[in-house]
Parts: sequence; structure tokens; C-alpha cells
Amino acid sequence: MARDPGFIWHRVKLDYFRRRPPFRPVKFGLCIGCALLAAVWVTAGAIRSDHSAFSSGAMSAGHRMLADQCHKCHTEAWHSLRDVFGSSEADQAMNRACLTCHGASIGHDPSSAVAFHQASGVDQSSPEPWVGCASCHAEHEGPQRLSAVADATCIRCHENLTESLKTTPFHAQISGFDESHPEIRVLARREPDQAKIALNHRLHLSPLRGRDGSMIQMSCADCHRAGPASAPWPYGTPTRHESIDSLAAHSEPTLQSAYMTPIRYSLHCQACHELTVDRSGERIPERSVPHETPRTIRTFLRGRLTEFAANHPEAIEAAEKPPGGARFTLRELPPKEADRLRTEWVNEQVGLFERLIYIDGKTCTKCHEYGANRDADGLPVIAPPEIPYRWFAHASFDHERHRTIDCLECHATVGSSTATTDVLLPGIETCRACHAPRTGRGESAAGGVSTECALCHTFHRPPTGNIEQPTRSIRDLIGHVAPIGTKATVSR
Amino acid sequence: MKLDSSHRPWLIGTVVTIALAGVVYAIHAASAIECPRGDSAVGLVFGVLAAACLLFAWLLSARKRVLLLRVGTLTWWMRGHLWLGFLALPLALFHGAFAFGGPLTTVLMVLLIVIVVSGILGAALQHALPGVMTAQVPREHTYEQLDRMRWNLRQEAYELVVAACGPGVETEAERAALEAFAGHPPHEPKKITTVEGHQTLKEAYTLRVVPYLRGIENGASPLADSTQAVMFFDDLRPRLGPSLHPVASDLADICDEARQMVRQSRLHLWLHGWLWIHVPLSMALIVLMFVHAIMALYY
Repeated sequence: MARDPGFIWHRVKLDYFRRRPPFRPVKFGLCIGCALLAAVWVTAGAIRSDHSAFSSGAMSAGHRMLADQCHKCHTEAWHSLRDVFGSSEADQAMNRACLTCHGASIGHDPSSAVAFHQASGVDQSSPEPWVGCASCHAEHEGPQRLSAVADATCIRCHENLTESLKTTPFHAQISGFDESHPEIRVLARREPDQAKIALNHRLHLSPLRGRDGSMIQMSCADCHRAGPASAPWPYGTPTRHESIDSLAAHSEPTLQSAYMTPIRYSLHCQACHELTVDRSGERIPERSVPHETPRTIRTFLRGRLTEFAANHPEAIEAAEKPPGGARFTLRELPPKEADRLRTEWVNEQVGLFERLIYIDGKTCTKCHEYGANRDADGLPVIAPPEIPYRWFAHASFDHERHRTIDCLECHATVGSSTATTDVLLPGIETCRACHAPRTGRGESAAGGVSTECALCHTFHRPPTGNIEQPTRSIRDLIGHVAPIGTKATVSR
Repeated sequence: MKLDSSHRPWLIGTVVTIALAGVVYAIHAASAIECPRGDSAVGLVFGVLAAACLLFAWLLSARKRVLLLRVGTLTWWMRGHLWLGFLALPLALFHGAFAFGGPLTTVLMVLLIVIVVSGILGAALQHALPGVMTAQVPREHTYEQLDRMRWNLRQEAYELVVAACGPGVETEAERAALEAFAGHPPHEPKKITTVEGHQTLKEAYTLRVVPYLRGIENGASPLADSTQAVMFFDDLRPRLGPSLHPVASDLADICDEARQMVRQSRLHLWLHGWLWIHVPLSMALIVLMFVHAIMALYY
């Protein structure tokens, strides 16, 4: 017979449901505790004015010092909320915050806080659309380099430029460094080298006889080196004459390591092409004239010859002796007459030297163009050489980074170039030998080097006009400022 | 909650929503210049939808507590809690572009993942375990009454043994414990006749049954295992007089019922234990979610 435990209502407490289970308060306390813990965590940071907990991601490497100073960039409250309602004021305020530090190095419009594009102003009738800094430089994406902008950022506009610009002088559809990318402009348009200086590359790369009679074999690096060179130039002899140089004729005011040192007579030419006008050194002790403007050369000649005339009156006396006339000395003449004769003699000598320099084709005319143009004093007007410092108007090329490659690998036609008008730039296909997606293996491999737009092209222009004097202190950058809405004070 | 055919519309709705959201996200990601972000228009829509789902899921507890709030049945709210709560995770991932972001958003995402995973685990357990409970615990009791039922079993076993063998020094401690619990002494027969094997039964009761029922050697006791328990009582019966065999059978039955209670406790722990993680973390999530929404709009 099975056991009979009795009726269930005898065995259980019928009012059990009225009693709160013992674990329920614990569970309730745990819920409240978790909620409180969360609230305490976020408010503790806010009380300490440390809003880094609310960051949407790690700061970029360059802005790491601002990680707990949100207000340095987020100068306007409720930025995202305003964005939702289509207000651009907050975006402009953030742009201004960027330009507070970067404005000194980036060309921008102070009133609208818009950074200028390299090509801005080319087509004034269709201004560029407003682009916030953060449109391309997305912060809070981790410790990457913020200046490394994805190709997609550029392609967004450049794959169809006519969408955002009415007209454009640029190639309207570029989707990368592929077939859609145009040839380098100067090659595509078959424009000649506009430099107004005579140069025969083939001749200079052939064996030459030096001034001392020895044979010379020049190489590219004898004249072309990237950046400010520290090693001496083999064919340069900086002399007392150097007060101006051909740098003045170049548009780029500063030397960058990426670019070739501009050709300067004193550094690259003078050792072989000295402007000798008096081999004996009798009248011109330096034997040569400085590589200067014709007016300066005239002043130089006049000075040297006046000195010579003062020290050698016999030269004037001999020159001024009338045919069949009696001999005389300058001392015998009244001072005024003597001065007149001296001046006439100097002028005559200056004219002779200038003829030698400008007309006989032994000095200036060897390289410079000036034709029949004369200024009011009858001096030749020498065209500035205008040797291009940068060949790419809207791109940059770093020779320094390519220094391991033989120059002739890219500039293959240099050895056969006899005229200045020859453009010796390599075509874009030469670039694509390396800067293309990797294909093939082993000996047949090609490409594999980055094709990022930003490798050659930069969005920003350097500032123009008056550059604002930077006013920030180190403490400004690394210190704390008051949060939004309170009076900004810099802790010092 | 049983995941039966009544969930089909919710399942289809959830799958379709995730698929649609996935397509929208893919288009958005393909057209975005950099990585898609939570503060873009599409990202914000995902964020708002995810927040709405979480709020709805959180409101289940309010609906449970405020019984007067008769907006939809509890079953409907529970289904919504389950599926919309699940939907919140992919929407939040689309919102954050599968990145965890800064400290607050990382904590939010970790919390959400833990909550959703614990919720999925809980739903699976609540779907499967009731069947297991029915099969393995035929004498299921109200969970809150299990302690009381265990005392009842101890009292029943005591009275059975004392009725058959009479009280003794061996059972004195148990008698005192039962009296302390119930507030009155357990029922004891007035006339006691000594039968063959009563001492053996008393020893078995004192040394094996009482410790097991008291729960002091639940795992180690042979009575904790049904097979060993059968062997124990099969071994005991031949050593008892025939009149004590029904008592031994009843004791075996009491031990079986106690074993089912242990099993029920264990299953109950699985059935509801995950809530100890799920619910408190949900509270923290809701608080941080509001903070995140406000601060994201602020900056």
C-alpha cells in the first residue's frame, strides 16, 4: 500500500504567496546597486570635469594630449543635436577650434573657418562646397595618423567634379591612381620646358675637358640633389661675388628636402663657367665679373677700372695722346680736365668689357637669353631663367624618398637631351611601375607600392597673406580649460 | 516561456528587420567616406531604434509590477521583450558600426552583449527545462514551499519509524528539531509493540535517512542517487520483519520525494539563475544608455 502524505493544504502554508521570498530584496538591491554604480561612474567623471568616458573612441596619435579635454575641440554645447536639426554653426565652431591650432599652417578663410583647397580660386564662379575639417579627418577613430585621409574622401568629389563645380580646368573624373588618372599635365599637353637658360644635358653628361685640362665625367648628382645639401658641390665655388643668386628667380621661397636644390650659378656652374673678362688680372684683379645683374656688373667694372685709372695714369695718358700730338701727363692738366679724361677712359673701358660680356658670346650669352632688349642705360635686359623648381602644380614628389633608384631609371631621356625645351619628366606610367596594385610573382612582379591620393596630393594650401602670430602656450595645449558655458580660464 | 508557433510573427518580424537594417547598413557603409559612424543620420536612426527596443524590453518589468497597467497581455509583453530585446543587439552594432568606441560605449556594448546572451540562454532554458521538470520531477512542489515540504517529509519519516519501532535515544535529536520547527511535538503512538528488526530500521533511519533528509550529506549519501537508494532499501528489507517492510517502502518513497525536491531546486536554479545577471545589468544598461544618448547629443 502506497504511502499517503495527506492533503496538500495540510502540508503547505496556504498564505505562502503573501510572504516575500527571501532572495527578492537581494535581487532588488542588486538591481538598484548596479544602476547606482553606473550613475556614480559617469557622474564622478563629470564632477571632475573629465568627460573622457563619453568619448566616442580613442583619440588620434597627434591629439592624444587632448583626450581628457573635450572642450578644446567641442566648443559648442549640443553639437550633435544641432546637427540633427541641420545647423552648421556647431560645425563651424569646431572648424574654428581646429584652426585655433592649425590655422597658422593651413590656408583658410577666417570668417567662415573654411580651409582652402589647393585648387581654390581657380574657378570663382563655382565655389567649393563647405567642407568641415572632420569631413575628412575623422577623430576618435583610434590612434591612427589623422592626416592620413582615405582615397574615398578625395574620390567623393573627384570622380565627378562637374557635380559640385560648374566648370573645372581639371580632369573631371578620377577614381584613383589608375587609368582614370590623367598623365602629368606638362607631358599631356606636350608643353616645352619654359626655362630661359641654355642647357645641353647630353653635353654635360659626356666626357668633358676641365679647366686644368683633365677629363671630367659629370653625374646627375653633381648638380641635382634633393634638399639643402651638406656635401660640397663639386662644380661650385662660392666666391666673394655671391650676393644674389639664381634662387631669386625661383618662385619657391623655401627649400624642402623633397625637392632638388635649385640650380645656382655659384654652386653648380662657376667652377667651369667662370665669367672671366681679364685673364691677366691687370685691370680687373678678380679676373672675372660677378654673376649679377648688368647694372651691378657695370658698377663693379666702373669701380675696378676707376681704381685702375687712379693707379695707372699712364694708361689714360697713352690712350688720350693725340696722334702726332705732344705727350702730356694728367698732373699737368687742371683737375677738372684730368677727371673728365679719367671718366671718359673708364666709360670707354666699361663699354669694351660690356661688349665682351654681352655681345661677343663668351660669357653671358652662353647661357642667358636677352636678345636686343636694352634698358634706358643701354644695358641688356636679361630674362630671368625661371628654371622650374616644382614641375607638378598640384602634386608633390619626394626625391629624397626615391634616392635609392638610379636617376636614369625614371629620367631615361636625359642622356639624349640637347635642348632646354626638352621636358625630361618621366610619364605617369613610370610611376605606375611601382605605384600600382601588386601583380605577378618573383621576376614578373610589378606594383605593390601605395597608390594613396595623399601620397602626392595634399588638400590644403599654405596660408596666404598675413600669417597670424601664434599665441598658444604649451600650457594651453596640455592644460585644462573650463567646460562649455563657463568662463574660459587656462590653468597655469 | 515556450517558444512555440505563437512566436512565428515575432521571429519573422525580427529576421526581416535585421535583414533590412543590414541592407541599409551595407549601403551606408559602402557610401561612407570613412567608417560609418553612430552620429551620422543612418547611425542615429539605428541608435534610436536600438534604444526603443531596449526601453520596450525594460518596460516588461514595469508591466509585471504594475498589474493595473492592462496594456497588452503579459504573454504579449514577454514575446516583445524577448524578440525586441534580441533585435536591439544588431541595431546597436549597426549604430556603432561594429566598433565599441570609447569607455562608456564600450561598457554599454559589453553590457548589452552579456544581457542579450544571458537572455537567449534564459529563453532556451525556459523553453526546454519545464519539459525536463515534468519528466524528472513528477511530484513538483511550489518552489517557495520546498523548505517546508522537506520538514514535512522529515516529520512523516519520524512518525513512521516511531510508530513502528517506538521512540528511543537515537531519534531524540530529530524529535527535538521537529518540535522546534512545528511548535508542537510530532505525533507519537501511545502503545508500542516491538517487532523483529526494529533496531535495524531505527539504525537505518538514524544513520542514513535523517542525515539525507536534513540535507547535511546530500551529495555523499547513497540515498541521493536513485539506484543506490533502491539497493540500500533492497538490502534493508530482508533484515526486517515482514511487518516493517511497508515502513521501509514508505521511507524509500519519502527519500525519492526528497530527491525530486533536490532536482527541482537544481532545475529551478538553472531556470531562474540567469536572471541574477540579466536583470541587474539591464538596470545599469538603461541608466548608461540615457547618459550616452544625452552626452552624444551634447558633444
